[in-house]
Amino acid sequence: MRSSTRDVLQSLSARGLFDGAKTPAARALLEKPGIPLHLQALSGAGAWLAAVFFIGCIVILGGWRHQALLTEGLVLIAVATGLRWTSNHVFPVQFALAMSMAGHALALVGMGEQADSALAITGLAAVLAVVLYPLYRDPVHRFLSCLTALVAIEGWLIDAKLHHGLHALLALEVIALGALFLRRGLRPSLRPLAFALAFAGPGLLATFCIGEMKLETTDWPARVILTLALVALVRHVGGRREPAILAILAALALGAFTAPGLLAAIGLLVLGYHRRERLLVGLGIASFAGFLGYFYYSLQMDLGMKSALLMGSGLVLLGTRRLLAGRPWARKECA
Amino acid sequence: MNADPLDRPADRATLDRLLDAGLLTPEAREEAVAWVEPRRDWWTWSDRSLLFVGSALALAGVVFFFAYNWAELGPFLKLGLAEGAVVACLLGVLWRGIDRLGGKVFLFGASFLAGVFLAVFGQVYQTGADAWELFAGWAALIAAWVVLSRFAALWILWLTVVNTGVILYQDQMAADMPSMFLVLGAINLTALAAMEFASARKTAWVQPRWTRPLLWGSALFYLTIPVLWLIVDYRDCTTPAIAAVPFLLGCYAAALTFYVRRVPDLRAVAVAALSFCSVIVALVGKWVFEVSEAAGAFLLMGLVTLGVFSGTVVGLRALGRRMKEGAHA
Repeated sequence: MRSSTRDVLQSLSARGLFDGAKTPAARALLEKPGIPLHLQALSGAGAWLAAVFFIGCIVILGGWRHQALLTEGLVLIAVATGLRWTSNHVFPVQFALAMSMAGHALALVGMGEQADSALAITGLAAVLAVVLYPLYRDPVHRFLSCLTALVAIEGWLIDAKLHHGLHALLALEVIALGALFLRRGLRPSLRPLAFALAFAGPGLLATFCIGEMKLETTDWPARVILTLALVALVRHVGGRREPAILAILAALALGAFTAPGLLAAIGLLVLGYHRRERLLVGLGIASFAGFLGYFYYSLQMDLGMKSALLMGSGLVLLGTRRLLAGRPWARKECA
Repeated sequence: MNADPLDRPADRATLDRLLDAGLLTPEAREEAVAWVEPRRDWWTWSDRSLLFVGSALALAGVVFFFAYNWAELGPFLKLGLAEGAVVACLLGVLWRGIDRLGGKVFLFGASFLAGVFLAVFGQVYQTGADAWELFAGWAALIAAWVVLSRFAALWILWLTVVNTGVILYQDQMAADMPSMFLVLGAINLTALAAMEFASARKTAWVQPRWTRPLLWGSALFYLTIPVLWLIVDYRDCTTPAIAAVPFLLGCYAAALTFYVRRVPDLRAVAVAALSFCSVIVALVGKWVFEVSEAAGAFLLMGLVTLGVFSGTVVGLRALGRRMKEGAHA
């Protein structure tokens, strides 16, 4: 039998974590039905499809001119921001979101065509993310806007041949991710930024596998960064001394030879489970599967080498499991 | 029915609403989530994660190894290695026992490696067989293991192999595309029906929580495509495309009866609603864009899309409330 909301609030109140005087406000809030995530997704799908038609309308009216695209994009973003302030209903919220994202696409394409510079696109994406974060109070918008800016920075580093900078960007993303997620009580307003960082990391690592990028850098700095991050994460979450030490040794063994994408996927799985964030766990699983697919086509090493690396990584993990299963405390928990 | 919403069971969504409204602090929300969704202990989680991730990596390593196509390895050694890997996994099943998770993972490995063996066989003997025949043979070869396994992940692997075989058959035999979608829809619907039947008989291993959205979503996807095709290009319609219409209508009816009354699941109804909305928008769009392709037509279509989706969401919210009240009654 699951606890009622009243039981939970009373328990929190007894521990000084909830002000009992807010109970009527909580009741009033919960009397209004919430919108389940799958209905939000359905509504979002409709809004995005509608936005495609509206963009078609705007492009036909305004023409595919570079200057017009930039202006149209910025106007769409402004209208969407205004619409978001005036309504909290599902459809206007989703419609404003779709309009703003369409505006982002038009403005960035317009800027790219006009300035012909990746730096200009990155600058515009970063300015939009920073300016709109406090103005546009919608978690999905904040997430997408930050993710766009992070991807733009990555694109600029690749375009400008600053390939070693990708490792610096990865290090900054990992540090920020840890600072946000490992702090107790992540503020709701910062969650979209934290998730944007979590999504940007695997995306960045995928570029190491894409042969066409012809990156003039090796992957070992990324491996070092992610191994250190994994060790720090295991140390943070490891309750018992012995299993934590074994897990750290396994992380170091993996970090010695495995691909950065695998380390990132494992890190996301552990972080997601520790924080009870299903989305992070899902991202970890998707990164893992996506990485294996990408890795097959990576041109940095031949299939024989990749095979040895994957089998080695698998054996390290299965060996760690075997080692852990033999410990007395594990047998006790299984019993 | 509970009159006071505070007496309803607490869940993460409720706590997130309280947090977003500023009635809970982030620390209080974390404490409450830890209470209402007690985490399995770290050891159980680590044990399963290490087993699944480690096995997946090792299997991927084997696939990469054979894909390398070692010139130095003779045909018998190649076949022997592939066969040896399958046998080793089967010995693992005997060692761990088919009822334990470790044994099931070994059987999954054996089933997966059977496909690798067939690929190596085709590579060595240059049988000239089409790729779809490899997948058909693979599905047939592992069918008995799948039935014995009582392991949802292995059933999904088998269905993936079958689905891939059908897609490759269409590609290589230049078969009719709508027929392919119809067959894929029928296969996934049959699997879904079998899963629901087993779930109703309290068969725990079928795990409807993740297999239902996967099977239901893919069946609806495969049946919606030929119907959209029919709408967009009705002059070139074929019998299978027309046959997909009653199948899809049957799915909508099933969503409104089975997933509302028998096994209440608003997620499943929402997936059917997405398919329904796409069909309606395509129908209206076909008519509108045949009349005009001017800016006004795009504007009208944007408004129609808003109307169709918002109307459906409003309807589903009301349905969801009724389903919830029915559950609490």
